[in-house]
Amino acid sequence: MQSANTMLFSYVSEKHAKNHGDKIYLAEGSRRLTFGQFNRRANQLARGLLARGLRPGDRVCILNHNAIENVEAFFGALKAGGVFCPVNTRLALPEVAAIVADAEPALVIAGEEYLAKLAGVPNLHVGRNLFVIGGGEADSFETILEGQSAERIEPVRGDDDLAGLIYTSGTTGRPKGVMWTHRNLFSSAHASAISRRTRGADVALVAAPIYQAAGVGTVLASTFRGNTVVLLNKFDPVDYLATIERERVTTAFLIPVMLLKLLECPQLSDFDLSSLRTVCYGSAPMPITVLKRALARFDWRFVGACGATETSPGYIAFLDEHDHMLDGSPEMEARLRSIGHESINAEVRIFNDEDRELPPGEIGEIVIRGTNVMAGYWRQPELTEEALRHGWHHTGDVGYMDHEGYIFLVDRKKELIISGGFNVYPKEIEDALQSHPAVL
Amino acid sequence: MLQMTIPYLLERAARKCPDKEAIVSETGRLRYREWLENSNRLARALHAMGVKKGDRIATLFLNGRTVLELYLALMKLGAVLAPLNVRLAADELSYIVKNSDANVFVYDHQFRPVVDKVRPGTPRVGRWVVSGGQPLPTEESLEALQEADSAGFEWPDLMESDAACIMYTAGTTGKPKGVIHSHRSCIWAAAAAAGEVDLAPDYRVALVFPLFHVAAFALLVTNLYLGCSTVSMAKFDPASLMETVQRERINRLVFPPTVWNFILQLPDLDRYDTSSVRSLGSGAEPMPTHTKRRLMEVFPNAKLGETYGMTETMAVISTLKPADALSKTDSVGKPFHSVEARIVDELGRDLPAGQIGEILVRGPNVTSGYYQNPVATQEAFTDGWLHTGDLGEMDQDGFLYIRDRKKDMIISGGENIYPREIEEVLATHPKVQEVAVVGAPDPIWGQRVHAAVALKPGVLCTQEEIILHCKDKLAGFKKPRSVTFVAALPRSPAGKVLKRVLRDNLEPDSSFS
Repeated sequence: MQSANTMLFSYVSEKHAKNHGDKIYLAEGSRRLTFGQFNRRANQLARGLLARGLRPGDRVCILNHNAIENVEAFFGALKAGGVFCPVNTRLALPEVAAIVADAEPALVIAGEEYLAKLAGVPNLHVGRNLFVIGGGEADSFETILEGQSAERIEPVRGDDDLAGLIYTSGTTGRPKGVMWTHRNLFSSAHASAISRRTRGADVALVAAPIYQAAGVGTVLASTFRGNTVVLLNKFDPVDYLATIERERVTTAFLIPVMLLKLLECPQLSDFDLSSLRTVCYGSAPMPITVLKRALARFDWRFVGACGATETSPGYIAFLDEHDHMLDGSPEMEARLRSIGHESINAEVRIFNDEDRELPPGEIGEIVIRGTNVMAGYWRQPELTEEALRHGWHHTGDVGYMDHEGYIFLVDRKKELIISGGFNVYPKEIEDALQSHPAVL
Repeated sequence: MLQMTIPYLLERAARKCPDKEAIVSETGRLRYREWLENSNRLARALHAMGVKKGDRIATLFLNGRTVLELYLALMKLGAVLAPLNVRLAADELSYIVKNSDANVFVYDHQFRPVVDKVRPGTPRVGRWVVSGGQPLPTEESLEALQEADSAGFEWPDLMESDAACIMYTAGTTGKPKGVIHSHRSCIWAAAAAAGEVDLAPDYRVALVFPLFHVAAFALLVTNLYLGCSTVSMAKFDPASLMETVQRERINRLVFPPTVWNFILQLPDLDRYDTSSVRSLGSGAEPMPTHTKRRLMEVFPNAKLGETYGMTETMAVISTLKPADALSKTDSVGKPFHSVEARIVDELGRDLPAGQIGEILVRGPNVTSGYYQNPVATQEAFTDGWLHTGDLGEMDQDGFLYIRDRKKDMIISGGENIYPREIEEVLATHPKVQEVAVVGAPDPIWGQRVHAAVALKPGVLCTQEEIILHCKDKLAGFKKPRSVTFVAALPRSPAGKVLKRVLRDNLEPDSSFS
């Protein structure tokens, strides 16, 4: 039996179904699902997964573009006591095979168009441990739900049990599965809701893929807050702008390149974007020129969010909307280069190579500890021990903190060039060169 | 993994904003850096005295710098606070001190008279530590301890699941129950408030309600969570509060509606500068709309929010946002993000919107149970939910309404009073045959304690005799304000006292019959 002070993330959907069951939760194209409908389907899915042999802690891999079913699979897995494990649809066959082999899922749920990507995975059988979204066949995703009760279901899990497994992108060699606990999800969603200053009535637009931390994090934080979530499965500037107008979107998560594409979209002025209030950006460093253009062009509030998969769907630091209100002073403008203050549920420090803290202004590795830091890497204890040594997650990012606690990213640690005994970070030089008028 | 504990929050705030004013009190001002230094020094001294992780420490203080330093010092050592209500009588205090298994009692010297009465009945307490005044030979001086800083030692490892405090609540069964709160449950209550109540790190927040009340303790932890400034007041009176608001540029004030009424009755309210106040809070009971409107006039820059909570939830269940203050007038708002609430029937089945049932609650801020009281714990926590004992309903929009208090609880001047406790005391009076205590409507206190007494055959008794019987046995606020004598208590066919009948028969002015 659960204790009354659990932080299981699975009950978030139950809560909103009860508090505003008729409110639209998910919108994808012309499809709409209320919180009540969603929760009933997630309960059915959970029971269907259990009926197919899912045991507590078992993984459910999801290979699909952004769609309602992905979110159903997240919550269905959690409610059954399982672990959701979204897989990047853009990976090549051998990469998908390596991740699925590493995760050892009890079940794989895949979009019809991604079945070919699973060709390299042995022992997958449609209808037994592989279910297809969108397929017309008898053994589709929908068959898992069929005949199952939609009543509330309580997982047999604890706060520190595994809830999500996310593979980091861009690594070479063996895939790294980052382990997120229920506590991680809960704490990160809460911190994100505070830092992004979301409101209950917000309509969130998510175009970032929900197989990566930023996209998953945005969906989970919006869900926690009881927001309507509008899913797009690819980013096209015109479609994006049209969606803001059509769905009366109030908050959005953008990666910097998306923001640049919006700014450069010839049809930008053709759409009514007045509903949009807050834009959160992250996932990649924001070029200052793009941010300044955006601040001049839009009256949106901007919030910078810098995270890593290892900080769960949460963040290392947030640059608050107040820090984006330029007053012409060089100090304020310099601050735009910062990733902001440490997240409310975490503590950030700058360490030297001996894991000693460095004073403000000195460059070292950015380390973080907090309730949003991952439990470790899946089945890789040495790697976990290395990354989480001395109780701090070592981000591999190099930066410094100023006297007011603003954190500045300098570069990736592995990009370090040592020249004549001095540490040289390419990004510093690139930034310096970038400011030369002759450089494009 | 990082263990977020209450002492950690102080360290974090001292690191983020070392020079920010952390405490303003009648006995001095402290920056965050100083609060941390002082409480760590005190912690080392208390450790040298023998305070260990897991020890329960009874404390009897009014709000102020001393108790704020003391609390953080004790928690840093992993000791568990058992804050005592200064309004309780000696017998009540003794019960709590014994029940909590406290081995150290720390108190302000002004409470020495009552502490002296507590001493004989609490043999487990080995150290009596007094703050202020001249210590007696049987006492140790907190100030002397602070002077004698001891050498450094290894701080104990604290887990967020470790107990931080035991907050005593008068149970419906009469005897107070110790509600255990871990660092984790306190901090999740703080996080909920920080996220959804109008608060910001640069706020100066008034701490007026005494810290032995759960709402005040939660406020303290929230201030630490955000790094706000805490403006502490030892005693409440409306005029000095308003002077403090003006002088200290207070940004946030929280009171129950009855206390707000006292403030609104100040004759020269408009002479105070209230422009700094941006955020008003209320709790404990719904606030009448006319009070809300009046508050909005007096504090023109402030937003008014209400919260509903209880000791078992570290004061956090739901919140009514300022935007809904005038449209959802008798609602206590929506559950906080991290809290789930259900309305169920007697069989534990969920009820649809608009139907009244018991309110069940779950969330990381909920207590793990009652100290050394497995029966009460089991009763309150069937099926993994806290059974609040409050009856309520939820509307279509997810707003929660309290329709009846834990059956017969009396709320007088913001204090929860459980009739059973008073009935037990009155029943020991030699002339009393049977007694029932109910809340009578009161224009000032909201409710007052009223006793209906059936005397033994052939005896005569006055109201004064009944009230006097409570002296030294009950806190002043729990004593009956009025007594009626009846031939027999009204009872149901099954023999249960019909308190509703007693209440219905009471007129607001029937007090001295």
